[in-house]
Amino acid sequence: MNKILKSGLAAIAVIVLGGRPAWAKLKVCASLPDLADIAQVVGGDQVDVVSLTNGAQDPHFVPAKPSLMRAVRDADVYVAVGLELEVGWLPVVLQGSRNPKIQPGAPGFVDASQGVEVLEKPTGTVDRAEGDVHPMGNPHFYTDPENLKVVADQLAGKFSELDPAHAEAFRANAKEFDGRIDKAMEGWEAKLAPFKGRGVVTYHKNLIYFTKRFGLTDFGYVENRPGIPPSARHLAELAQKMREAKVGVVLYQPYHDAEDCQRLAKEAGGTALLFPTEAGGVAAVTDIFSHFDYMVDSLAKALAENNGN
Amino acid sequence: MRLRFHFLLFLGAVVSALCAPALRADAPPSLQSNLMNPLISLNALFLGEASPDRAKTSYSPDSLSPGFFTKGSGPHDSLQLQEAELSVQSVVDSNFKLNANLTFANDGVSPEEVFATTTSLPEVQVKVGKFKSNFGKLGNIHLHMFPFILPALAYENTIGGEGFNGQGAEASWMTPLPWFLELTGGGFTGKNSADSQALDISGARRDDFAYVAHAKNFFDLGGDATLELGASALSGHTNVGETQRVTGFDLTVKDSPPQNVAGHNWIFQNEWLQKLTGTVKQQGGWYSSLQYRLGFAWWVGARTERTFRIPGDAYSATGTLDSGGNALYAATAGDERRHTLELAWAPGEFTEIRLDASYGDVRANGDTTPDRRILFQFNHTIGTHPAHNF
Repeated sequence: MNKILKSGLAAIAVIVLGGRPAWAKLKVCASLPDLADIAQVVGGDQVDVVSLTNGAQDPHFVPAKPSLMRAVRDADVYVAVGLELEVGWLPVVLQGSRNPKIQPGAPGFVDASQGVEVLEKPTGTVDRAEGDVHPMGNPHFYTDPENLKVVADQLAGKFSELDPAHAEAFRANAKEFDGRIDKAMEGWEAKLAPFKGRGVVTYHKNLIYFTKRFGLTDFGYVENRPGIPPSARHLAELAQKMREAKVGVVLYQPYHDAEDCQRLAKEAGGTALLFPTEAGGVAAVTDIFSHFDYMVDSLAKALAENNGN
Repeated sequence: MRLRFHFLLFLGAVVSALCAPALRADAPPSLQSNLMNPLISLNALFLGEASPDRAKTSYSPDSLSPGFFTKGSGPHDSLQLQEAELSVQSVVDSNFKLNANLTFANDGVSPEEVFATTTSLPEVQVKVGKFKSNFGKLGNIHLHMFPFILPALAYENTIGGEGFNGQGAEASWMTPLPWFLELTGGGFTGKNSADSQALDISGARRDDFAYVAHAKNFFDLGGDATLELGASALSGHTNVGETQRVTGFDLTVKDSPPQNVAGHNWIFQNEWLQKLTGTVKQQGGWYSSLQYRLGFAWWVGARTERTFRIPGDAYSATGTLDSGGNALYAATAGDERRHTLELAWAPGEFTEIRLDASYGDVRANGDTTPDRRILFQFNHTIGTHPAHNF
C-alpha cells in the first residue's frame, strides 16, 4: 500500500481512537506571558503557546470570559501559576473549557509553583481581616529568575511525558534556558549590587521574590492590606516614614492606581516607577529576558537617582 | 495461691497500663486526614425594606416580601435575614464534580441545588440533579449575585423570579465555531421546584417532562468590551395538558478594563421573555439595565422594566382552563412597570452593601397599585466560594 496512504490511515486511526498525532505540536496555554514564554523556549518548534493574560492585567482579577474557555478548549497543556493566584477565575475557565486533558490533576495540567521555594507561607489562623491574603504562600515567585529555571525544568519533564519523541530536545532547551538565565543573572546582579540593602516601596506584596534575590528590601506597601486601596492617612504615614528612612522609590504595575503612587513618591521626595511584574506590561517587554532587563535597568536608574534623597 | 495469682495478674495489668504510652488527643491522624474536605462557603443576605404602599409582592400575593414582618395591625418595615446559602463543592473522582447549595431562610432550609457535573467528557458537560436550568441571563445565577436587589419583573411573571429550578439533566456543548457558541439542552421532571406560581408546569402525565434549551454567543469586541447574545426556550405541560412555553432573548454588553483599581467598568444588560399557554400569549416582559463602576468600590445602576398582558386575577395553580374548558385568563391590559436606581459599595469580592430605590405600578390581588420601595441589603461571603460566571 502506498506510504502516504498508510500514514494517512494511521493518522485517522490515531485521531479516531484518541490521542494526538505524532507530528502535531503540543498546544500549550498559560496563565501569564512569562510562563508562556518559558513554555515556548522549552518547547521550541514542537509547541504552540498562548497566554490567557497580557502584562497589563492584574493576574488576581482576570475576567473569566467565555472566550478564554474557548482558547483553552483544545489545549494539551495548561500552565498555571498556582498558590491560588488564579483562584478567582481559572477554575471557571478550565471547567467551562470542557477539556478533560487540562483539568487540575489531569496529565496536561501544570502547577508551575511545584518545586519552587515558596515565601511567606502563613502560619496560624488566616482570614480576610488581613485583606486578600494568599493562604498557600506568596504566589509571585516568577519575579525571581532562579525560580524560572525550576519552571523550565518542570515543563521539560511535562512536555517529555506528553511527547516522548522530542524529550531530548525539550531537556536540551530547558538546559540552555537555565544557562542563559545564569549568564544574564551575572549582569543583573552586577547592576543592582551597588544598591544592596536599599529599601523600595511596592504597591502590592508581589516583588518579595525579586527584592530578596537582588538583596533589596521591601520597605512598605502602598496598599493598606493586600487587595485594599490605600487610605489618605496610610499614604501620609508611609510618606513620612519614607522621608525619615530616605527611601525614595515606589514601584507599581500597569493595573494599579498610578496617581496614588505618584502622589506618594512626590510627598516622599522620590520617584514612582512603572514596574511590570508580568511580561507585556510595557511595550518594551516582550519576553523573559527583556522583562528582567527592563526591571533591573529601570530600578537601578531610579535607585541611583534617589540615592539617599 | 489462686488469689495471689489473680492479684499479680491484676497488678501486672495496672503496671502495663501505666507504662504504655497514652493515646494523646493531639496525635497526628495517620489513618485519616481532612485534606480532602470539600470547599465550603457561606453567603448571607440581610434585607431591609420600607414602603409606604404595600408589603406584598405581585407574584406571591399571600406572602410578605423579605424585609417585612407583621406587627400589630399590619406590615412593619424592618431588616431581616433574606437568605443564607451554604455552598459545598468538591471533585468526586476523575470523572465527576459535586456541588450543593443549601439555602436557609426564615421559613426553613431547602436544597436549592445539588448536582453532579462531568469533568472527563471532551467538549460536552453533563449536569444531573437539582439545579437552576440554563435559561436566560439571570435564570441560573444565585440570589446574592442578582444585579439588583429585586428579581426582574419579566422573570417573576414568566419563569419565576429565580428562574426555572428543576430536577433532571442538562448537557452543554461548546461548538467548534470560530466564536464562543454554547448550546444547552435539558430535560426536567415536569414540576417547577422553585416556589413560584409563574409557571403552571405540573406534569400530571407519566411521561410529562419540561425541556429547556439555550444558546449563548459571546464575542470579544476589541479592547476590553464584550458582547453576549442569548436565546432560551422552555416547554412543559400544565396539569390539564396544555403546552406552556417560555421564550427569551438576552443581550449584554460589558466593558471591563484590566485595571482593577481605577477602571470604570460598565454593564449594559437587556432581556425579553414571553410565556404562551396553548396558543394564548400570556405574561411577558422585558428589562434594560445599566451598571457603572464609579471607582474601586462604588457602583451605580439603573433599571427600567415592563411586563404585559398580566391576567386580572391572581394566578391559578391549576392551569389556564377551568373545568369547563374555559380560559381563566383574559388577554387584558394590566401592564406592570418599575424603575430602579441603585447605589452599591463593594470593597472586595466578599462584601456588598447596596441601596435600591424602586418606583412603579404592579398588579396584586387584581389591582394595579403604585409600588414605591427603598431596599437595603447586606451581602457577605465567607469561606471558599466558587468563582461566578462572567
